[in-house]
Amino acid sequence: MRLPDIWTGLGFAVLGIFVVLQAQGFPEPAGAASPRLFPRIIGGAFVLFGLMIAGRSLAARLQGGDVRLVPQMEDWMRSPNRLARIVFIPLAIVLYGLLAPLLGSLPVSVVLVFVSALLWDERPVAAALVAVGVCLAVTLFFIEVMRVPLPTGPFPGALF
Amino acid sequence: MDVLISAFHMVFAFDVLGVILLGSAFGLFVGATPGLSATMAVALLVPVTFFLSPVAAIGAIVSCSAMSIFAGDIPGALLRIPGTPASAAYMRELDALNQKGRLDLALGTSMMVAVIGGLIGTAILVVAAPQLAEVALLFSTYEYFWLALLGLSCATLVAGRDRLKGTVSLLLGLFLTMIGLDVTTGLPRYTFGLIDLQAGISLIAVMIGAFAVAEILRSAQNPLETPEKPAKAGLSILRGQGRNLWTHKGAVARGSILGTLIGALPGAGADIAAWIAYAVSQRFSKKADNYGKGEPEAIAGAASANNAALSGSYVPALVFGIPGDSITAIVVGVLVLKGIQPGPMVFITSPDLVNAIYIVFVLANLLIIPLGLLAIIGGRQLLGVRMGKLYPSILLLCVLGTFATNNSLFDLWTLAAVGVLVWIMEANDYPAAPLVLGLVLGRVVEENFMSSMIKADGNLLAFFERPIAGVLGVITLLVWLAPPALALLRRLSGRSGGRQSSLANEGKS
Repeated sequence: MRLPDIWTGLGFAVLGIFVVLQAQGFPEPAGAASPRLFPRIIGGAFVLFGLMIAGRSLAARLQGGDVRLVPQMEDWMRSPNRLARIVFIPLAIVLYGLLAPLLGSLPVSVVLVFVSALLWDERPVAAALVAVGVCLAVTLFFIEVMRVPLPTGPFPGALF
Repeated sequence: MDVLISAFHMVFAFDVLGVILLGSAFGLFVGATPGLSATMAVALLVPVTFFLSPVAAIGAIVSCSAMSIFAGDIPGALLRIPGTPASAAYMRELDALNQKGRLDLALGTSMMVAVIGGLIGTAILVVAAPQLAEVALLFSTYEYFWLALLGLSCATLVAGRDRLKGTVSLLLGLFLTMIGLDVTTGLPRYTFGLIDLQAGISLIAVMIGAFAVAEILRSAQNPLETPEKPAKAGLSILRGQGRNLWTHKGAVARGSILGTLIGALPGAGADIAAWIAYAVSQRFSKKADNYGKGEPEAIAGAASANNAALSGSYVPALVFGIPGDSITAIVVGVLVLKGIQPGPMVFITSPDLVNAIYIVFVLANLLIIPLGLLAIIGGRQLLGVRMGKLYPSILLLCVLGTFATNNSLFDLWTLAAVGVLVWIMEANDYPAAPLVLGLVLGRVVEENFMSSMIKADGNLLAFFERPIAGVLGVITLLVWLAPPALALLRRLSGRSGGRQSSLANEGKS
């Protein structure tokens, strides 16, 4: 996702201002090193370098360079399949976090991997086989080999 | 001698050897799969290492990274697609030899020189690290502050095309380390009242998000490609290798030494080492005209360098605790999570661990031969894995791996957020490596900075008073100030040159 440098630079500069302003509120215990010092330096540097990136881009635009102010449409944005794949990746992570404690790690993983495989253009039967096979293998590895307690949901200890 | 025996005991335990073997096999698979990088392989291993002993954890990482760097050559030769960026420098040579029907020579040379490069790099690591550690013992907080800052500064120099953006990426990593309890006073900073943020941002979630989730997102935005069936290769790759290696011994030695030195520099990893070694090899070659047309000497010079660089990058990581590249940043992070702070004291307090790491390096490099042979023979099947099977499985590993380390849902939110953030950042030329290096080294920088400030009572000149600190400080400042100063000078001289030439033109007219 290509964004104009002016906006990314300004975004980081704003983050720097936020970092510095937040640091102003940190308590300073008497006789100790200030917990504000390092955040101020980092926040200040954010502002400086963010503005430099934005300024550089603005200067190039003023000199007639091909610098846009609005993000451009990219190939993947026009493809519903690719867009769905991209949106589903962070969504799958969040859904696992929300649903696994309620429904159990294995069933949630199987559904998420199945949907994900479909979005990567796998046929339903192949996607189902991959989902079941991979999820079983990975879950067993974490539970049996690594001894990690994954959420079991409504089936406490019944799955393995 | 006792230390060495103890180190052998640590490494030659059933579980450690098993982990090294599995780590190698995993590295082989990831490295040989186009689109997946050695750093991604190591990042995916991190949650597993969380539950292992320090030696087993390092064993897994070293064997995985060494194997994946070599394995990147396999699709380079078979499909003309480098498996990892470290193979890109000499991919033309591998492909050209394949086109000439000499696939055996291409893969045989790359495999054998990878082993030799890795072993020479290890030998240099074994000799140099203890010597440097003795010097490092003289370091105080001032030197450590400058050294960490120098490492971070160099990392931003070589991380991407745009130095400014590399610096911003580094600052973001440093900012993330400030979230949680303050290192000197223990007061919460940037936690917004959230208990989950008090312990700070999870390093594992950030590493997996930056190097794996962002990589999956990048692949998801491209059209899907059906892999073609590559040519076959087999045991014939070993035929005539003795003579071949002897013929190119100079190139291998040069590539290995150069690779180790480049690997030891902060920020310069295996891929940069391979590109530089390729160029140097061509410069000194009597067959320079054959480069790019399938010259085994080119492969010998560059493929030895990238594996040697891996060993070299452990020199600053082990001796100073300053990681040189993304992989060693992960290693330092893993060791810190295990309660071991890499640095010169490790050579005194845990010499057996240091020796165990050396042994692991030797083993990991030797394993390239049998496992590499297996991978080359089974390359057709390995490279035929469809993306629809591969990426959902990797995503599952990312999710379960991140969740498993702390059983924390918050880590999953971090994983998703960092994955998307790094994907957007990289699309806009903000590199990911400085962010992770900043996150790993941020605490070291702040701790040493604050301790030095307290000792110096706020006097900044004290940072330059000790000889080594002064030298390191000046070098760091030069790294920061020299490029913009040179650019300014160039611009000024360009302007005055332009003015002179325009005056000259006016004079002529």
